[in-house]
Amino acid sequence: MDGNWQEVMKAAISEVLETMYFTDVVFQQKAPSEAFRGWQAAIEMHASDTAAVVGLSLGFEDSFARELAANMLGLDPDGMPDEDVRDALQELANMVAGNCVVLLGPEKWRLGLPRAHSGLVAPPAATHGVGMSAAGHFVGWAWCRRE
Amino acid sequence: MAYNVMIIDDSKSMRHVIKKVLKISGLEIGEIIEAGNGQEALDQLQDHWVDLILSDIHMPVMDGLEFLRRLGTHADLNDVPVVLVTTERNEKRLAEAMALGARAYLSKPFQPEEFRSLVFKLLGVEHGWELAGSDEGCDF
Repeated sequence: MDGNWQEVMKAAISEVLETMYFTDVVFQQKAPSEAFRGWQAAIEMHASDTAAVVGLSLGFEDSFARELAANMLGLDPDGMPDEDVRDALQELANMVAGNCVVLLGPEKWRLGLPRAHSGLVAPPAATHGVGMSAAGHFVGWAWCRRE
Repeated sequence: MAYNVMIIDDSKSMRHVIKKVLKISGLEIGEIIEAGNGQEALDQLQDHWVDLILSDIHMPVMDGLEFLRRLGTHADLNDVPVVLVTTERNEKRLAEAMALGARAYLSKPFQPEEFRSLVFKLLGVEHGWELAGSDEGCDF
């Protein structure tokens, strides 16, 4: 994906995290390249006039994912059910993709349904993704990829 | 007057956020009824009267547009104002939703004040007091 997609993705992530999850992240082109245990949320954006499909994925370390869910819901992250974390991250992917579509042209793209799961989060290819850190610590990756 | 509100969204988190924003809005809230999709909402509306419906568009089973179509076929329900709370930004689809009877839409993510301002205006409520005799148009 070209640089424009990446900039659009970063802008969308920042706005959604600030507005609904009361947090912000710093993006970094160089990020740890090892897989980690955490959460991955994904959604597809379908081009309206071609068969093009772009997948957006967000991968977060478990503790940060729980913090995001807790912030959104106004709850304590400790003891938060996995189902609540999964749902909060699905909605995050949904809103980030929605914002991407606004920036890219809402007439040209439509959203699929988001999904999220816990497990091993593998690093994206260097050209597709960016790392994210919060309070000076690496917390995850974000990437867009043409499917 | 306490308002009964229905929230329709397949995301439990988003329903929770909307509930929270409703409760802090200053609007007197009666009952909040939740549904995960349009079909569940129609089923719930058989047994619950609501004054306002807040609905997502993109949902499995029955999406928001189909919900609006079906709602419009119920004579006793088609005056209930529906506000779409959605990530949809395609103007044609939003126009279709308005033509199907939605009164307004609010884009996710949203600030609580945007939400409050829209809902209060739609219901003809100002600062917790109903606007007496207001027939102000509420189409956005």
